[in-house]
Amino acid sequence: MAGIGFELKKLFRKSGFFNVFKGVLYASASTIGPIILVIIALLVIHTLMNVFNIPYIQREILSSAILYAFVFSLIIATSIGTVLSRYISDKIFNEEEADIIPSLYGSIALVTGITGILGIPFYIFARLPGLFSFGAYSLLMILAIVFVLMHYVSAIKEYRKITIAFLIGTIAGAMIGSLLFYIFKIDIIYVILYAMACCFLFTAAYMFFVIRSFFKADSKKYFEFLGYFREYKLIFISGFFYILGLYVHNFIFWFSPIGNVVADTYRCSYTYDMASFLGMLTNLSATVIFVVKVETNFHQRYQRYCYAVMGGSLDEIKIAKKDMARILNHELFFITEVQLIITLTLICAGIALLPMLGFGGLILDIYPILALGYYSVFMMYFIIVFLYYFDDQKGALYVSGIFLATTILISSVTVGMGTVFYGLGLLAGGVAAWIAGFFRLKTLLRNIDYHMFCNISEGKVSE
Amino acid sequence: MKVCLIAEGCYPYVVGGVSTWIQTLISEFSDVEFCVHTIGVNEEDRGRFKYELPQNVTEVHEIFLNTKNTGAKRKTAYRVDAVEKDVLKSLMLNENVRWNEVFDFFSQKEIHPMEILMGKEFLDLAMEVYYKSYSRTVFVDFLWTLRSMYLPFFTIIKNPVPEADLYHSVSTGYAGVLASMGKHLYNKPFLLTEHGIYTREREEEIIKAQWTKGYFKDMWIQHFYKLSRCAYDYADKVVSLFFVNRDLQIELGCSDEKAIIIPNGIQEEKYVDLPGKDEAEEALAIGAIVRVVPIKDIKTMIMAFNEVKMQVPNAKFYIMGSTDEDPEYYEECIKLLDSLGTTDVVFTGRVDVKAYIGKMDILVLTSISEAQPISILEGMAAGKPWVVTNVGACSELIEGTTDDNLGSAGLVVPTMNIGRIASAIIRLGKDPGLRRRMGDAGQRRVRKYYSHQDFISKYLEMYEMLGGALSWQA
Repeated sequence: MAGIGFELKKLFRKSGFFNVFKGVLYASASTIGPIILVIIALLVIHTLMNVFNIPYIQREILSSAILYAFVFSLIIATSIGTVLSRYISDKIFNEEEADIIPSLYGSIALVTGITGILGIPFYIFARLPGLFSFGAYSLLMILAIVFVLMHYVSAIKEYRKITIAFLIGTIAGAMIGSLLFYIFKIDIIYVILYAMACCFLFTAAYMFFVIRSFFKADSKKYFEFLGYFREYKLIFISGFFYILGLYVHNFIFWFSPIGNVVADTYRCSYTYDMASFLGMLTNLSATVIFVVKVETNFHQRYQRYCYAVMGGSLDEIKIAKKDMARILNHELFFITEVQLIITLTLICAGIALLPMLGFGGLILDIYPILALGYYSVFMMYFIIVFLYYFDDQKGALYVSGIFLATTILISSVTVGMGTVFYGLGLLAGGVAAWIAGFFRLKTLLRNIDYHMFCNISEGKVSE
Repeated sequence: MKVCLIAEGCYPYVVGGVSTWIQTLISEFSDVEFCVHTIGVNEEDRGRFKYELPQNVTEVHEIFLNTKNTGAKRKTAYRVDAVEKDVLKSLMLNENVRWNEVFDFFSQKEIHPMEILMGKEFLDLAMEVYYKSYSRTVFVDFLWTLRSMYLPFFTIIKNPVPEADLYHSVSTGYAGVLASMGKHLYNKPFLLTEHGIYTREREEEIIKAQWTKGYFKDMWIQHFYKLSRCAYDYADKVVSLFFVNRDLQIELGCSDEKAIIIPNGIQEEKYVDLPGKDEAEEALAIGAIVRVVPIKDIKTMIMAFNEVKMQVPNAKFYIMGSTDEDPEYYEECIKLLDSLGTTDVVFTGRVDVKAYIGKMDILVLTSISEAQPISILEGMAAGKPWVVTNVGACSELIEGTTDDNLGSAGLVVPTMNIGRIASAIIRLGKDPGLRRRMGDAGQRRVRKYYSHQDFISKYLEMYEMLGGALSWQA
């Protein structure tokens, strides 16, 4: 992750508004690309549905299909992605790059397999037209593949190409959509669904092409990466807990009094889902700030500390350690403060402006709590990133475990209580895990000497 | 009586002076029960004995410095408490080392060396030692040097010696520490015999060594000094073989009341009427009773022979000793011979020296390092003159000690000095009268000061004085 920060710092340093804009664009593309995509997609679809006067029920079905495709593909791909990224970076570091291309095939196969096991039965038993089911399932599958591919492209630090890939996909999707609608006169619902799937197909194809041209050799070890799941099962479980926790409160509210059933197939909750979508949006800037400022500053000191450990006197090590700890504290406080201001500002703006955009009632009640909820979740996530820097896999597991467990518990409880309590599940989970993570990190830093010199992981000083 | 004999890096894995000495001692004291506690280097040597153990050896314990078995990581690692930490601190800082407590700690607890070495307490202590004397070095290198110093040490002392009536260790170093441990745990006496001075030998090795950096060499040397100091402090009697070594022991901290000399001895009557040279044999027979290994400096010997051959064309050289111990070095010697083109040099391999000594005119020993070579005593007993390098007890044997006026038994030359070695051999070669006078002096000296009987009776005295009456029920 730190890699992109440095590239961006270079861009930002070249003065000029355009460069700054480019920097933000790239940062966004790699860290929050998927979510931006959702926003654009939903906006476009929202507009199209208004323009073509699509009946409400059909809108619901389409939105649900897209929602399900995004959420579940993200959960599956991210869970696998954490371990996969480790595999890729190890291979690059050990100069065994021939193993990377076959792992790409293998991981795509794995992801397709999992979405198939989960998705195919779901859509077979769905009370939906076959063509629609097929389109929805394809979207699910292709999105999972796109997310997996993003891990590979990130590993080779071709962030610009990620942006280009999405652009190509969007253009292709729009063209195909227009073709299907205007020439073939297909129903707009299907057009949107399949155009989206094509859009991502082209995105995936381009990214695949980029990866393929970067790595020439192929060692045919298609499933070697699976071994990493056994060795790094802690990382895998932590990643899974985190991404699941991020959406599990939504799942719980799909079965609550404010939940809906769409076409006898999809469970969702228009109110709660929209509120959480807005809440996530409100905090996106945190990711960008983290990658550009926080992580890069820390990374420099961290590297200096590692060098000191490997070849310095004890005094040099102590100085580097103090420096690193100081910067870590400083940067964490910085992002906590800055993002809080941004979040609070946007919440206020939201409460004032959102009614004008057509959002009302319950959404506006739940939104502020969820916005704060996502704020605490992101802060917790950054702490996990730092725990990983020190290879504290157990710590990351505890924190993400607390997050998931608390979120599930409190969310389930608040379902039964009044609507004024909705959203507290995520907030409680985020805050609890954030506090746990904070203390864990503090203890870790205090005992960092022991950690560095007495854990028999020889030279696992990463990055 | 049960004697626990503790040896390091020799018996029964390596054929040589010290091992043979041990074998002789055990065989002679056939009424004593011996338990052999031996420290080897590589785990692969386990069970590969080069000596047939005498009947009175009832137990053999083998431990190895390079062992994989450093204890697997357990679920709950052992935590060193504050008192134990202090004890380890005294050990690591080498200040008033609390050896008694170190021994108790390692004998009472189930210790896994790696657990301690990778633990937090050891890290803290390492930092203390670091700040004391090594604060400019790379810390991680320092830490791993420290760990590699204490790993073999902990590995060895976590296998304490069994209970016995007397602990007899044949060197300081790890063997000496084990014997000290036995003395402390069972309150029994400890007799130390030193052939070469372990500390000096390690010091020389380390100075020449490539595997550690300069400033850490000092740490290693201090570590070995610490080990010997332990042995000197705990031993009841400290035996050396000759005066120079006794002086060295005292210099290294041994109290002079404890230090006595019991030289090696041989049964000289067995060397008196050996088969002599063939009447017809005109050649000057020059022999060396040595294993073909670098410390005997065979190469210098060969080059000296080469010079001798040029002046004394009818000379013949016999190198009588095993060529299997260091095949690489043996190859190098052969190559050297080939390149010099010297003729009449014979490697006999391991032989019974008694069959050959009698046929020699001159005997040569050009080692770089020696204690008190039995081979010289054998040659002197057979009445042969010697050319020896001035190492260890060699000059004491050849020239005699201060109150010995029996005369020279040979010529003493500096080490690695090809010219002086050659001219000494040539001088003896050209003067049969000198050879005979020197040979006689040698014989008289061996008979008077280096007899096997004296050697045995002095050790018997030691054993009885320290361990009690000698008797062993089968």
